Amino acid sequence: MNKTSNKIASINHNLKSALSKKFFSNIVENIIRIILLSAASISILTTIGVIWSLSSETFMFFRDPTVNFMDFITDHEWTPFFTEKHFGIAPLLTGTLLVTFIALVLGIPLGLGSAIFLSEFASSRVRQIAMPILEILAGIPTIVLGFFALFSITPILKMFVPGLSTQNSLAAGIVMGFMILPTVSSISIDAMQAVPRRLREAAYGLGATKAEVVSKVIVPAALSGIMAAFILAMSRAIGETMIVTLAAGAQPVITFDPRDAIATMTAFIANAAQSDQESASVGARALFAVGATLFLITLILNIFSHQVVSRFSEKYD
Amino acid sequence: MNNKNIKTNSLFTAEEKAQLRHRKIRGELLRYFSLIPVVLGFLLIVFVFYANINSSFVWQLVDRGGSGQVFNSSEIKNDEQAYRLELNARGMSKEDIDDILTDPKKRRKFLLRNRVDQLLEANGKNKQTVVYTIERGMADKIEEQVPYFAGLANKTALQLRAKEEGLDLFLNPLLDRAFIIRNNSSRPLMAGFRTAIIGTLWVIGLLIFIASFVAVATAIYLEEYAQKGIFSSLLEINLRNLAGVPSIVYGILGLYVFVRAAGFGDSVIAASLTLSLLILPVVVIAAREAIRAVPDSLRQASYGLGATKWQTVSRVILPNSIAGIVTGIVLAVARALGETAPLLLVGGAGFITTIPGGWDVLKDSFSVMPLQIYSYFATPDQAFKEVAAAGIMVLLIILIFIYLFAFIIRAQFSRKW
Repeated sequence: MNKTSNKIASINHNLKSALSKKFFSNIVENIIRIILLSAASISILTTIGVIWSLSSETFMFFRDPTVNFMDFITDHEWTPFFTEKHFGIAPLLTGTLLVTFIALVLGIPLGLGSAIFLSEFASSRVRQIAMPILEILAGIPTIVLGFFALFSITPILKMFVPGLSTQNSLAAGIVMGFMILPTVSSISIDAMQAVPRRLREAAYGLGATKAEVVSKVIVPAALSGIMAAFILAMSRAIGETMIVTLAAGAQPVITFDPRDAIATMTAFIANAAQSDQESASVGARALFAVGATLFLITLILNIFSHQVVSRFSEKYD
Repeated sequence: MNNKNIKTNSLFTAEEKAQLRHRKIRGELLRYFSLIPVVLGFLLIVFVFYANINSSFVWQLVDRGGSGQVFNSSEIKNDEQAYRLELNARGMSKEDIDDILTDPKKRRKFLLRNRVDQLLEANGKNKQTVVYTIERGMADKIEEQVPYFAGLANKTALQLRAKEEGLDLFLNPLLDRAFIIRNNSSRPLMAGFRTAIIGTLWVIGLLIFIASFVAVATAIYLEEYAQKGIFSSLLEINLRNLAGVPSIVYGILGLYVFVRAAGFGDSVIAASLTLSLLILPVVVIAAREAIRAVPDSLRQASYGLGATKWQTVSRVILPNSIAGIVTGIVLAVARALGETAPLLLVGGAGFITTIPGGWDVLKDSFSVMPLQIYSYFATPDQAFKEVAAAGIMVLLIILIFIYLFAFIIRAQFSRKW
């Protein structure tokens, strides 16, 4: 009798301690959950911070009496640090577009070509050597590429291109083309690898050669992914700073001559950051307005690229 | 006879055969054309290394100030001895030399203006040592600086010019010990990389703590804790878009939030926080992939044994995904090391000669390697072009080691389930 009541008491005690343990561990679990949640919120705070910093200073920029929103879009001159100030973003936009265009003309065929080679033609042995090459290319800091464009590519181009200035969009665009090559390549490879095997086999069964399978079956089937790669590469080229700051110059002029020095949006921001402007001056605030424009353009491109993937990708199952 | 019959009765007409051959050739062409980009990419990498090595080993035509002497490297054990020999050759007495080299103030001043350089070649003799000086009245002057291969091709012309104008011809590796251990200077002859290396160690060291904690926590939350809902899908869209934001926009964020609003100024902590936010999406994506690769059976087994969520995460999931997470962090650190654009806004790319350290290190001004390389570009002095190449080589060599490290981790510790 006594024995059983003792047993019950001990079970009771065990249960109590287990329950209190559970209660304690529940608290710990909740604390940890809160810590993790707040860490996860930091990325959302980052976005809020970006939008806040860009919009508040841009708002102050447009409230300045010397600035006019219509002029910002239509004016052909960008001279925020001169006595006679003009705030037309057109020269920075054309500069950015010119360099990006050159980079894409080179980077897209190179990226797609290397993707076709690595995904379809290369043996696994060759792929093991070739893939790291692209990874290294992606890993070279852009400041190194900028110096390379300025001091190595431009002197070589000068031998072939008459009238090339020391800083020019051609050299910057060429080097940037190589910079975006790995982006185009790796995303395209993923897209091409995702094409189901039975499509290939069916094409081979119909007697197609390897090149025909690649060009008429695989690339069209992976087109949405490849298009997304192009758009992402474009976004990266637009946002790239050091190559253009070093090699393309700081002259905001409207020109489509790749031999001339130009200024991109990013190069303006980089240069404006080092000028001794007072932080409340309209010249310093121009930096934020250009940054906001850059942010909007790249954001739209990024969203667009995801739209392309989700809307146009072909489902095979 | 039979053979001939088969040939003529082939399934294909001559026209079709030609077409077939044509298709085959086109296939081969595509194969070789698609190989071109890989080869070009490889050549570009080789060319980048070649250009920087070429520029960081230079032929210098020097109008010697100082003692005008070079010393045999084999006779010199350390920098101290080189300084003594040089001062002796300048005609100083032993007492004066001792005074300069032991009095802390004088010594500091002396070291700022004199530098021991190991030369590969000096006036035709191999392995010499020289003490360059910028002391007033006896400063060494570099008349011309020629990259290695260009100088090698025109060596006789350079030698002739040296003879005619009474100059010394040195082959100086700019990427040497003195470059690593000397602080930054506004004079190319004295310029070193130590300021930038220590600045980088502080900024990146802090970044590793901040970024890996936040990123791993975010990844754990998204993979293990978050229920499917508005918040988690918002987080995902947000991370995806953050990954595509140009790095200079992060610089603007850092400038506005950390430098100005939080009042950190151009400091180590501001730079570290900015770069942490920049690499956050990359690390989160890598960490999520690593966590997702842990098979569900392990999770279920852990829960089945009565483990709580955090026990499962900390004792089962993290230990089994650590290789992937660390690889992701290491690769992101490599990216942060070369990142320049955001720091132009947060750090200010002046000629910074102060080294962060001490109690107030977080608020110290700093320079990091890519920023200092950029500052060489911004100075009008042409001789800095070669110094920049030496700096780039330091950065690239460090990056090579980091990539090798990541590669080894991935190869050694990754598990297949």
